[in-house]
Amino acid sequence: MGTSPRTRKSVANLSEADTTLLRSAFTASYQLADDRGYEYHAGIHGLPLPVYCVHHDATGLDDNVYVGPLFLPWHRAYLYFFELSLASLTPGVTLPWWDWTTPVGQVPVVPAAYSGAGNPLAAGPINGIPSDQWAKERQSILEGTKVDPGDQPADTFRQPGQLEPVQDGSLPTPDDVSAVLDAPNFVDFTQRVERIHDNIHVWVGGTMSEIPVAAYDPLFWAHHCMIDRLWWLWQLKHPGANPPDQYLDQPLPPFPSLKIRDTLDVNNLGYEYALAEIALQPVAPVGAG
Amino acid sequence: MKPYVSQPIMITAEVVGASFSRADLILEGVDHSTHSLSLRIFFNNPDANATTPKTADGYVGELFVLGHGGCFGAAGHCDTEATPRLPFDLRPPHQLLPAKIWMLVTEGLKTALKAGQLVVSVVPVFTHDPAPDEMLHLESVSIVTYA
Repeated sequence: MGTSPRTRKSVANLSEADTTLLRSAFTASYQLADDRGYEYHAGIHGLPLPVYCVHHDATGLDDNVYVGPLFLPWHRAYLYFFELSLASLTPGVTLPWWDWTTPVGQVPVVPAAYSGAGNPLAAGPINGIPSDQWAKERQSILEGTKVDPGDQPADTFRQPGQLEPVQDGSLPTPDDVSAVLDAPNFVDFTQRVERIHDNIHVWVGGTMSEIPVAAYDPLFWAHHCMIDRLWWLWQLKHPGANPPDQYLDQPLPPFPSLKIRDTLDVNNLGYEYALAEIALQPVAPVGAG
Repeated sequence: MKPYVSQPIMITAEVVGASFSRADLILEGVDHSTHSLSLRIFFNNPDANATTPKTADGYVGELFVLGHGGCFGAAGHCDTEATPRLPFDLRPPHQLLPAKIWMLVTEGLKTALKAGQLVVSVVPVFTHDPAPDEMLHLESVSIVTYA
């Protein structure tokens, strides 16, 4: 009756219908230039200024500075508002999570659902950034990737595994993730999971390796759902292990309706992470066929 | 960018704590204001550089740093020390303040303990190195052990 949680599935388990729905939702979002659309939501993370996303904040907390471990709560809120915006445009859609763990010896890849020419999940449009800011970011992208993204609207692009000079970039293994889930407290966990998070951004490369435009890549959302899921799995494994109490009432700009404490339980935000979905068919009625 | 290499130190069970069960390598002052990079950590391999494979002696692990890509505002926008903080200043800190990051190095330190000496190398690896002749700058590098 509309009260059951939305289910976020693994990209690997998306049905054809799920993938089609997701692509329709992103396409609809790309076409909206107001504050319901992609340009607005992707721009919250980086450019245009101000840059709201929170990274590298888990430690080094200065007693005189109003800061807390915001990386995980902020991105959970971010996913929540973006997912709702997609569902407003395309009812029933949810964000999937990309399990990027790759066993040793296996070649890491971008999932097929997010690859291929003409696929709206393979690249997103970068647009709406003031020209002076875009000129600087365009130059930064060129320096960092040797690719000029051109004028706006520009397309995001990826350079998976191309760390030079040895091009031996790799993705975290399942054992790496297991080790992260063993972190004994929230600050330790957020530090470890943020390093893994950064690993994926750097491995994907291209515009995903630039904070100002990373969220314009559709793969960004699937990656961050995986990070959010790891936080949820860690929470289930360590009940009550929250951020330090003094931070729980800290707001998460630009999301005025949410504070850190509001993000602690995904069920309060109306979603869950599914491991698998098994579709069952009814028994054929007697005489059918 | 050229690696950070620590001066050699002698390590003994007394120095690291005889019964440590966990060791963290802590890097302070990590710049994340420009391009993304990987910091590869080697123990007792002072010649390690960006071409050294991760299968080489002393490889301990890798820390990734997602970069902010530079400054997009007017002059001074990203000067983290431009304005001293005043009392009652509840604004968030500047986003580009250098980071403090750490990684578990328990097994690496146990191996180094057998050698009796420790040299820590922090090797920066970029997709395209923006400053090949500059030294990697870190405010401090330390190891903390826990029972």
